[in-house]
This record gives sequence, C-alpha cells and structure tokens, in this order.
Amino acid sequence: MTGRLAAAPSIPGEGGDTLDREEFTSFYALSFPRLVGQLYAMTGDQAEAQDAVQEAFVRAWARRRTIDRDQAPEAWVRVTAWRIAASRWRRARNGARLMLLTARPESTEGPDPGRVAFVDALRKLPAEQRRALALYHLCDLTVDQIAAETGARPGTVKARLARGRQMLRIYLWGSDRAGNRVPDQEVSHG
Amino acid sequence: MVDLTSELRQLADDAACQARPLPAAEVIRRGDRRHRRSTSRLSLGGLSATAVIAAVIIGLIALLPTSHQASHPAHAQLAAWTVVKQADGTVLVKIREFRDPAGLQATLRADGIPASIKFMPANLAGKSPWTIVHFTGNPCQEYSGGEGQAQYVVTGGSPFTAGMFIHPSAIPSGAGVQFVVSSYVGYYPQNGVPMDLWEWLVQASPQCTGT
Repeated sequence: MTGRLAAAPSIPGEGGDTLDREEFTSFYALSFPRLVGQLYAMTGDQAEAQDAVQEAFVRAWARRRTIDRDQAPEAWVRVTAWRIAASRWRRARNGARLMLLTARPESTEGPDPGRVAFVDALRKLPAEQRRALALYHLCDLTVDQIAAETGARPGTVKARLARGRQMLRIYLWGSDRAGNRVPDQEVSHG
Repeated sequence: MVDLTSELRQLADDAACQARPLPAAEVIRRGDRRHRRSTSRLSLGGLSATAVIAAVIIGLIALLPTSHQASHPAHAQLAAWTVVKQADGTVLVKIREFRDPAGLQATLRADGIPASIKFMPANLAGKSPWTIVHFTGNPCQEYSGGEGQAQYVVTGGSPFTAGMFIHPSAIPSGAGVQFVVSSYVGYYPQNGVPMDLWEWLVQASPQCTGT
C-alpha cells in the first residue's frame, strides 16, 4: 500500500526490516490511541474498539518478524483489529451486545444533543458502511486504498460511502431530501 | 450543516482520549507467549502423518460420552456436524459443512433444545449482523425477555474448531435459540474456517422452535 497509508505511522529507528522492542514500544504508544479512535468510529463501541486494538498489538508483536515496518504497520494493526472486532464468534459470546451494537444506541455520550444524535445515526449504519466512512473521512484513505484494505472492489467502496451518507441523512433528518446537511463529498480523492 | 469529517474526527479524538492501553511490556509479554504457542503448533505440524492420525483418533474417542442419556441412539455424526449430549445435560456441537440443517435442528430438539437452525452459505460479506439474523422468511422473533441470558445458554469455543456447548437449563422459559450459520462476513477466514455462527434468543413457537 502506498500514498497516505505509508505516511500514517512514523516508526522511529528506520533502517532494519522488523520492529525491535524499543521501536515497538514507541509505535504502540503513538498509535494505540489513534487506532482506538478509528476503531470506535468503525464499531460504535468504545470497549470493543479498545479490546480489539489491544489484541491486535499483541499479535503485531508476536508477528513482528513478518511485518515490514516500511509497509505501514499501523494499517496492519487496524485491519487486524477490525477482523477481531468483526469476528462474530467473539461477539457471539455477547449476543445482547451484538444487537445493541448494530441497532440501538447507548446513552453514555456527551451532553451535546447533536453529537448524541450523530453517534446514534452512525451506529445504525451497517458495519461495512461505517468502516468505509471512517477509513475515508478519518484515516484519509482513497477509495482504492480502502478497497485494498477491506478486500472490496472500488465500486463497492463507493457504493458503501454513498449509501452510508444517504442513510445518515435519513437517520438524522428523516429523509434524504435535496439540500441535506451531510454533503456528498467526492469519493475519489487522492 | 454537519461536517462528516469533523464529526468523525471529534468522535475519534474523544475515544482516543479515553483509551487506556496496557503497558507496552505487558503487550510484549503476551505477544511473546502467543508467538511461542504458534511456534509449538508449527512444530506439531512436523509430526508424522501416522502420529497425527493417532492423535485425532484418540481425541475422537475422548469426545465420546461415557454415559449417554439421550433418547435416540446416534448423536455423533462425523460428517457435516456433530452433536454430543454430555452426562450433565449440556450439548456439544461442532459444525463442519453447510449441510443438513434440518437434521441438526431435529437432533438438537430431540436433546431438549428448542432450536431453529438456518444455514446461509451465500457470500454475506458486507452484511450487518442485524441483517443476517433478520433474513427473509425467518420464522422466529426476538425473545421479548431480552438477550441478557444468551451468554449463559451457549458457551465454549468456536463451533467450527473447538466446539460450543449449549446449556438447555439456561434457556429462559418461553425462549428458544436460533443459530444462523453463514459464510464468513469478514475478509479472511478465522483459523481457516470460512464460516460464522450467529446465535440469539428467540420466542419459542411451533413455527420457529417446534414447541
């Protein structure tokens, strides 16, 4: 992967092929909060995001010899964390949470009603639409990069982005009327 | 005007601020342990085929119940799926193929589990869990008593590898369990098994759980 993905993480101590202990520690400290934020936007669940990112970093260290730090290890951790979070078997142990995650809002957001409404609307989106929106708007990936990271075709990514925005409008304002307030930003930047 | 990028960044920033990472040394320790386990598994892979086959046979023998309490004679079917009723009433289930869901459903019901089984082998990548369990024509409805008890009804590991345990005694009165087995909805099969299982409590009814 190239472009913005390669620019995302800055790993200290360039020169070798794999992360040593000190480099990993720096990478972990720098990237953990950012990745939790990204996974939260994708999953809608703070605890789930943190658990998944934590486990992904454990796996990253276990596989450090096969992860090339020049090939965006942060993207590797993000993909792994997503896979962990998306694993139904993990969620299956918490059947109630699965339903809450995909269909019902929690009530622990901040006091701003607009923010709460936005979070609720976001949580109603199918997971893959949320993921695409987060990767595009939060991680600054291009459609092609999102396609590479998610294993979907670029056309599918565009559809998810468009559909996700459309559904946000509907959830926020009850209709997908013209002049809506979630703009259809261009989906093929970069 | 809602700026989607700004909203998402604010959400992510808030979540990042609340992130509480384990100490790096602990992550490294766990990673080392995980690496040692995977290395051990690779070493195991070097055993002769005879030894592996012998281990599998021993494992299968160990799985057979010592005291079978079932009302029907044959629970173990080592083809598409396996159901083994334990002496304590729990039921071990393993699923290997998208085949004979009706047989699996009937077997579970015979073991006292008001179950509904749906196999969906089609490619469901991108579908949300909510969509999957609300498939068209689903005869079941969500259990009105809530899903809180679900975590006690099914325990154990993956039904596609280690096996899961169903605890009939933990199923609330008036409820049943629906299992929807789908193709893997992520991008890479976990443990090489391209299947997912979704379970949830449903209202018991003749059309859904047979009771």
